[in-house]
Amino acid sequence: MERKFLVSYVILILTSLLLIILDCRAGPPLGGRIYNFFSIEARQQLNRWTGYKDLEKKNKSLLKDIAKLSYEMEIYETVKRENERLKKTLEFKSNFPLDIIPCQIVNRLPEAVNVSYFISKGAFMSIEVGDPVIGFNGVFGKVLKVGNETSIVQTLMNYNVALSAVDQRSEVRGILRWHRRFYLKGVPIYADVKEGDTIVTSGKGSVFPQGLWIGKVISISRKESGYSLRIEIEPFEDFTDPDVVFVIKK
Amino acid sequence: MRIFIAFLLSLLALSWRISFSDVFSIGSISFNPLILLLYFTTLYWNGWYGLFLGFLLGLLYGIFFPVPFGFYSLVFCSLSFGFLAVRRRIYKYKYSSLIILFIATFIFGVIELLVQGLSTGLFMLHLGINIIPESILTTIIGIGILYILKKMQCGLHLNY
Repeated sequence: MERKFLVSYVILILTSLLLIILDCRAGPPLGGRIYNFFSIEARQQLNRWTGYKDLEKKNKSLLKDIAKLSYEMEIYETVKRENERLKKTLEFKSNFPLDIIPCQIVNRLPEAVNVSYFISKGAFMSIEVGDPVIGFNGVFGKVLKVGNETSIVQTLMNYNVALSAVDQRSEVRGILRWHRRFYLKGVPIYADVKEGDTIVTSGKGSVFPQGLWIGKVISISRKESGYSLRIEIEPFEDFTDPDVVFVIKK
Repeated sequence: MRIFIAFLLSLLALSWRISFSDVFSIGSISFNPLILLLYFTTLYWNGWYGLFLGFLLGLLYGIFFPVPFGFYSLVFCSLSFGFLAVRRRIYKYKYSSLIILFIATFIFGVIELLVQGLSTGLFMLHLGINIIPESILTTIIGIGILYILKKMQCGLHLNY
């Protein structure tokens, strides 16, 4: 027998004995702890990892579902809004005393200061130049140009606009103009106009019938010249983002 | 590379012994792959591998049983050293040399029974129905392996 084998054997045996002694002294058996680690903890780790992978899959699937549902929700909201708008339009058309044609706003004209819109109806629907246009809340503008299927509507937010208007309460007349804001001009300083008064069309012009709502008085001040009042009007109609307007047939 | 192969073989033998021993058994008799590996590694491959493989196998095997850690290292190292001790006194390519394998398997079986703390009756019963048949089966498989080894040796001689 080679001596080196014997030496190695003795070393290994001593190591084994040392392990046995250490294991007997230190609480629960080391072998059992290693076994538990591999059979329980390692398995738990593996389960956690596979569980995590499952969760990741589920998460991806749920994200897809969320995206799909969000898209469907968006469609639903659009349809709902459309439905509400159409309902409101129909109701407005039914209740309005004059003959009106509902028109959808197609686009805004690329003008920086004056605000004008394309509408979805034209000469085929008997729309003519100069026809008055109203919104749900009041006067909107008038038809400026007419094509076969579309028309251009010039809103009140235009430097050219001069609309004959009247205070509904005191029947004081004036001319509505737009200069960055709406003003009722030509009203003498002694006129009975108060803040909060409703301003409507007078019917004296050639375009708008009488009694259509325009806006309300929000401030009154005396002009420097001292002959007329400076009356600022807040319009009822929103000119910035309309959906539907109505052309009044004369 | 050889060490890696030896390690893989030891893991294979260990998993066979722990997990598949009952599956690939004849009745209640199964062979002992650990002793087989240890025997053929020590005598036919490399004595060093046998010695250290015995130590490693013992550490790993001890994990699965309620014995002090290192106990089976002691057993396997001793068996391996026993193989080394007799290798000069036998002709390892004779089938009769496999009596060493039989004795080693038997001794290992007896040690396994002893650590279980069985009563004398049960001990004898297990000795009769498990350990001796296991030793015989292991020896028979050892005969098969030795046959293959001899064939390989023969092939080498023919080439030479």
